[in-house]
Amino acid sequence: MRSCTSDRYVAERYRRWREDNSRNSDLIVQLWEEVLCAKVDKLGDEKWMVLEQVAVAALDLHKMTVAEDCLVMLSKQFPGSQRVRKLKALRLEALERYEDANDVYDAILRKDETNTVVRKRKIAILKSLGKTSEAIRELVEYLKKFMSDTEAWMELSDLYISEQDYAKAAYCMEELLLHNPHHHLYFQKYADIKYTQGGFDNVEVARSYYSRAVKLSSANNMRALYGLLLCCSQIANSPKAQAQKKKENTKIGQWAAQCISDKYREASGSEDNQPVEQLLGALTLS
Amino acid sequence: MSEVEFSTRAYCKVILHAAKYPHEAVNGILVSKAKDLEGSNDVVFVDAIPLFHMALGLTPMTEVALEQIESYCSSNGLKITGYYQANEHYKNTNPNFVANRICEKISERFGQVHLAMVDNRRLSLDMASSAIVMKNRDKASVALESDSTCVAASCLLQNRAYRLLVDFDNHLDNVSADWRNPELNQEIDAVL
Repeated sequence: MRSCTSDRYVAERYRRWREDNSRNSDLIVQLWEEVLCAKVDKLGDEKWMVLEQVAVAALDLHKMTVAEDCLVMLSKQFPGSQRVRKLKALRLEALERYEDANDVYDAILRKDETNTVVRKRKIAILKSLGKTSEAIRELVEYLKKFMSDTEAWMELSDLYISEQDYAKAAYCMEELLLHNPHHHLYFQKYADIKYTQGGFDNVEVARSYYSRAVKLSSANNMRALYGLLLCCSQIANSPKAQAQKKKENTKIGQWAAQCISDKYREASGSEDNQPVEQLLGALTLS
Repeated sequence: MSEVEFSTRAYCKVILHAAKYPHEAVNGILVSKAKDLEGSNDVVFVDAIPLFHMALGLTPMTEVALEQIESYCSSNGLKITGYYQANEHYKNTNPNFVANRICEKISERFGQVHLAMVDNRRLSLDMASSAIVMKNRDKASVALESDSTCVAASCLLQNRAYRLLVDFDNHLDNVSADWRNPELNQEIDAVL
């Protein structure tokens, strides 16, 4: 039985976070300081990946000394490495020296113009400076060249949402749906955007995408279930809907409400007064 | 001019919510005791209910959350009186369209609503002064329940109590996570 603070256990957790791209900066640095820092040499070649991971996490938390210690070790091991150079530029960003960071990124791109991470850092700098419309323009340019970058499409969608440009945000989600037509979160987010956009037709579209998300997640996506309920109740109460449609939507809405109640019952035994029924007369924000 | 005051519980939850998601915008609802509001212009936020840290700009889940919070409030003698938000951008304390739209909706239903923005620059481990600025009123500063409110916030941050905080996004990911935060409430009471 391994103790939960042993270095091997921590290294394993780090590995999992690297694989699924979790940003647990706070935990990463805590475990580094409490466990791994003193034992990093035992990790073999994985050491360098861990150092990189800790450096990024420490910069995220503005723990400059931790980050700098890691950077020193990394540049000693890999002199002239572009990857380490990028980390150093990341440090400049954390110090708000955006111009200097940009210069480093430009230099890296002159050597390797396909370096997508660095291209995206440059766009992130625009975002840090609050230049959202410029960031959007650059990200659109980026996506013309690297159109299979799903993370970038997601970011572009969020940027459009922050500009309240829901039609374009929805377009980005359509791209993502083409990339992976079985991902319930994409369906759910597309529906969220359509619902936010509002209007009878958009709510109807949202309803069918929420339905799909519910199906693909085996009715485990709570947001999709709630969304389905909201859409159905709006359609059922709309003067634009015909009698047949009202009937159909009332039925689906009731089904969604039942699923939601079941989830709460499963979770707690007997959750008190979850106001699912009241949601049918829900508050509208759009 | 009416006074606005944060209880220790409300203040700490706002700060811990911002601390739990340092790289994202967060928002939430502030509530007062309904009977305290009768015949008085002063507002005391007795509790904060953390809403979201993802996709603040999309409305469906906000509608769901407000509906649940309203029903929770009415059965517990509480009233929604405020809204808080911490922006994603470090230096920006201006309310964006999300803050304005939600406040508008709340005030349509519940009357006056106060808008509190977190000043990210004043978040630190020692939390020396209040990190909240009020918008839409003459006076930007707020009163805190007592001198120990800031100390409590600082202790909780150092103990990493933000890991206990549950917001509505966490609740939607796992419905057994309770956005009323009973566990965190105990922690806050214990630190005082």
